[in-house]
Amino acid sequence: MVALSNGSIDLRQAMSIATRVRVINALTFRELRTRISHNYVGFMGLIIGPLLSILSFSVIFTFLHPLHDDSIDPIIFFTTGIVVFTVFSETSVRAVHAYQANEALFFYRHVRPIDTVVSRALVELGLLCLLTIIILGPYFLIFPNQRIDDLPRLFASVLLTSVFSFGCGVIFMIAGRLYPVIEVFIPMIMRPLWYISGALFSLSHIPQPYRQWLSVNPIIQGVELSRNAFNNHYTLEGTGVSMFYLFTSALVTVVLALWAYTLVEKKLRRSQ
Amino acid sequence: MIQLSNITKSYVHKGQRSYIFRDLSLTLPQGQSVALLGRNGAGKSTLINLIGGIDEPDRGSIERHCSVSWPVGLVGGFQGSLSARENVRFVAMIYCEDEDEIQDKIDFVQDFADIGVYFDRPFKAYSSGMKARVTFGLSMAFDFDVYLIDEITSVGDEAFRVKCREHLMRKRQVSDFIMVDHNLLGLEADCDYALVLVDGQFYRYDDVLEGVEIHKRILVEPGFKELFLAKR
Repeated sequence: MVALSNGSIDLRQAMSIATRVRVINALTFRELRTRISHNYVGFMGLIIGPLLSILSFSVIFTFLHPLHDDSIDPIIFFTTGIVVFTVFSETSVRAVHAYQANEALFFYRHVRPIDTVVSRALVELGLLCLLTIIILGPYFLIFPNQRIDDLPRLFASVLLTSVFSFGCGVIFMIAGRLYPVIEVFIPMIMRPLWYISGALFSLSHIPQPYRQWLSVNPIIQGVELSRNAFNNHYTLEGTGVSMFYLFTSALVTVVLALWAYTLVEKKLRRSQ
Repeated sequence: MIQLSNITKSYVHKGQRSYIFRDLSLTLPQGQSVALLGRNGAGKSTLINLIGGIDEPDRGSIERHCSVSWPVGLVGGFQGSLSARENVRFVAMIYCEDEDEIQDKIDFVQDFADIGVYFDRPFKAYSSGMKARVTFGLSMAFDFDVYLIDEITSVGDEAFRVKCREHLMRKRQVSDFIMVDHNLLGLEADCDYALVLVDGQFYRYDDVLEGVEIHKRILVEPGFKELFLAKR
């Protein structure tokens, strides 16, 4: 095991909170520059893709197959479902590739692999919040009688989903770096996850015992909690969904991820 | 001071492990610059990368009681799709306290590199000389206690080479260099001592020229290496 002396100025500098903040700030700047500034088409794609799926699902399910709960407007229903799931899928899939994409930057010793995952998670969260505002801004202008019932609850559920996704992302990154086959595998599980994470259905419409099995998934908890935050009439009764469950899953995942990370950080950075 | 204790470093290729260092311990004292000498593949760059924290050893510890640069003038940390300005800003954001300082660093590198409008174009479109101007300028923009100088293969035209040398000499007044031998800038002579790397072990020569002599004889004279190691 590598021992580092506590007296080292350099180490203290590398570990300090101020350095972490600066590194994450710099990585976030770089991530945004790479993804947006040089490619306005890419930014439009970022907005138009989810926008089209939200609109098409809203239209299809409103008229053809009302899967969603009547208590909530289909646009709100699908926006929350798609955005919250995308927070998870984008954060965790991008985390898998975070190491490779930023490998050149480990040239600067202060940049640590986990910083790349933190900055990617922040960028995803920021971009998807922006997307939500772009979609729902006009919606609330057109339907002024619609309102968000519980804004703090909405923030809490999206944030906790993001924290949970970050934890998963760190674990995926470690696994992918140690066993490269996992890098291929992770994006593949996103499609089945999409179908079981409640982006397209209400948990209360699913019969038991499937309902309780599906509710184990923290992403569906995040999705359902956000819908409930928009409209308190959207029922969570009997679904097993609770803020406490989402909070606990996020906490356990992050603690587990950080513990695993501290064990293997040196190994991650070591060239083979 | 930089202290390496019981460093073991190996690389695996196609299931075969080859060792660069085994239980290497080395102290690089403060206030002295060192020239690292050894044939290609002896492990000079590996050592630079270990000290720079770019690579980690299999076992052992590295203590840095001072600030250490990244390897000077290498394109390693640059992102091809971003411009020089953005790349420099990224590094400055890591090392600087506030926006004014960041802006100062960017201005310094822009002035030092002197590549005109290309400073705002993607880095991957640069010629090797332009890349060298930017990367070298970036290294010169920051003050470190110790500069790591790996083999620099390109430093642009003669005028720029002179400028680099001048800047390095100025840094040399207050900082230490850990450098790999190369003739491009002709700096070995300015080092305080030489470390000759033979089969994963370092041999110290306080007279740099003597070290260079031994290094050259090991390279070209058949049988000299064995004789050298036998005498040790």
